[in-house]
Amino acid sequence: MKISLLSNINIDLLAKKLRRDYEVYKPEGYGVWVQEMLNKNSGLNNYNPDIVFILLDGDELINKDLDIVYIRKEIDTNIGYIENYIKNNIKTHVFVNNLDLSINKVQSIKDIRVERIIQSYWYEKLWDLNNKYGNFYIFDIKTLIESIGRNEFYSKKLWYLGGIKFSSKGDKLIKKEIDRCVGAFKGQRKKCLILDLDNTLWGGIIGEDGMDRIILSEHKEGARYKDFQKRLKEIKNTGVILAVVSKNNYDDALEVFKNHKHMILNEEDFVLMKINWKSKAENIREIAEELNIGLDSLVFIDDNPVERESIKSQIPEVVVPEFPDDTAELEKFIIDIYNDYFLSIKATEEDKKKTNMYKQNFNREKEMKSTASFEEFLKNLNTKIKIWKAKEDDIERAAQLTQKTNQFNLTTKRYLESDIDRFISSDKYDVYIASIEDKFGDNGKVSLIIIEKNDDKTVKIDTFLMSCRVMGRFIEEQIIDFIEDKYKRKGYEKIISYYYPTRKNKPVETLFEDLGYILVDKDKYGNKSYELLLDKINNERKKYGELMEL
Amino acid sequence: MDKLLEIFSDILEIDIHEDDLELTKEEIEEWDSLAQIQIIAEIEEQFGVSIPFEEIETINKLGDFLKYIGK
Repeated sequence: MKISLLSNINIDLLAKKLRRDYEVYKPEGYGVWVQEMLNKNSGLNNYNPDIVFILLDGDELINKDLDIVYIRKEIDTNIGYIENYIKNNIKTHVFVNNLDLSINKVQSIKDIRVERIIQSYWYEKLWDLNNKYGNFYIFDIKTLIESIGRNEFYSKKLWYLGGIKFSSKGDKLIKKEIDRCVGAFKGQRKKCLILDLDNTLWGGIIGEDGMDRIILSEHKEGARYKDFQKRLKEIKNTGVILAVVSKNNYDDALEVFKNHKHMILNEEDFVLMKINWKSKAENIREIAEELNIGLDSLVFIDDNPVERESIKSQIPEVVVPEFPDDTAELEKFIIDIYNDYFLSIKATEEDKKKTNMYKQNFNREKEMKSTASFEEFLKNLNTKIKIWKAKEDDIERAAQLTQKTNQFNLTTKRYLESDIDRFISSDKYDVYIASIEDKFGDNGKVSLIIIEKNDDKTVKIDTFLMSCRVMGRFIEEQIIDFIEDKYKRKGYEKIISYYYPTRKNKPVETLFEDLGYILVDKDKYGNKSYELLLDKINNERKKYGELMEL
Repeated sequence: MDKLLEIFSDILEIDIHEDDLELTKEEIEEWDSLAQIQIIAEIEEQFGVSIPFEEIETINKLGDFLKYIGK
């Protein structure tokens, strides 16, 4: 991930901190941000970063003494420069901060605070850019400043010493925010948030206090928990799945979900509820297993330090944040959790339906237990596989799939949206995306195949992945059949494929062997390459669903 | 003291031990003006102290910072 920093002030210290974690380009000097964007041969344009952070200091950018009409004009000009850069570099993600202007002028009571007007005019312009361009984002420095106050965020001493505005604390907050943004692009978000009930979703202990005495209300004490739940619901709507692990009598706890009038979260918001007297570690392991997700994609929230410690020591992969001592901080606490572990750039349609999709999976599994044979079960599912060449509006999901899929992923190559875009527009690559539907519901786009054309006779399978939600249903056999048939018809003779082992993709270790591919090489790391001559296709593959090309 | 040495090591990106405190700016190549500002900012933040502006110029060896951390 290549990062670039532009600013109208000295941000050398920030750049120094960032260079420890990232490859960073920052031009020498600090009056050059506009030139860097506009000049085709500038360092910035040669560097071609994945993400640019443009951090502008309001006091240096705007001459507050001018008439507001001129100030607006000046802002329009600057925004124009930025827009120009965004338009010409659609593969680069551009962040610009909202403007902060200090109020240090001596003035009388009746005088207007023109800073407020300037700030909001700038913000309106950023808002327009945000709506207009998919690769533009607002860097919310105002919220960072408000969290500790201007006096802490800036340092007069550093300013007089070296022309540096941000204090050490300010720099750290900016760095943390940049980490979050970059992390979100890398797709490192966790998948599931596991919650305790008593003294977490509500105050008090349901088994002892009973429905009428637990603390949960619109105002005053109970609002701590209600506000907490409101934010949880929002987090769920960004595609995070919620689960409960609680030591309680199942019926007692469910009574609250069903009948307490201030509960924001209801049963349907949770993909799983483990309410029993087993150890929490055991329940958490079950959740990972039943949802078919890694232990390292779980975050566990519990007010009880003993429970937290026990999970930390027994399942170190699970993230266990400290619970706030002061429950007035609950809302801030959960917003921080979201920003640190679940921040997403933009929620996709699939994200919003996630809880339902995981639920449908259970119903499938239940049905499997009740039907006589597995074959019969698969036939009865009425699986429909739709496959098509990825288009513009599939790019976001395609990139997300490469970043999130760990188990059924033969080469585990992580791609950015810009990469996928490049493949789609290139003649050398074909990108196929597939969606799976069955009688329990629509799983959405869950499989991706990227084919690289080697020469007239040979194609390579660069990427073949499938979401774990639909694994184990022999869908891969039908998809690979389709691919082979497709390229055979186009006159190709050979397919080359690969398996690169990771900590998680063991389930597909022998996929290509099982599909009849010939192993041609295996290196000491276990990286394997295969080939298949297309006139020797083995047609005895399993076929339980109906495949359609769109 | 350990905290101070940690700040030096972290910012200068070289290992600084207690017997390095006599080293001067001239002897430590990494101790440039940016590093100087960074050290001051870190000490002020982590120890909750203020290094008076007028005295900054007189700081010439690492040990000179000692008097600001209350030891």
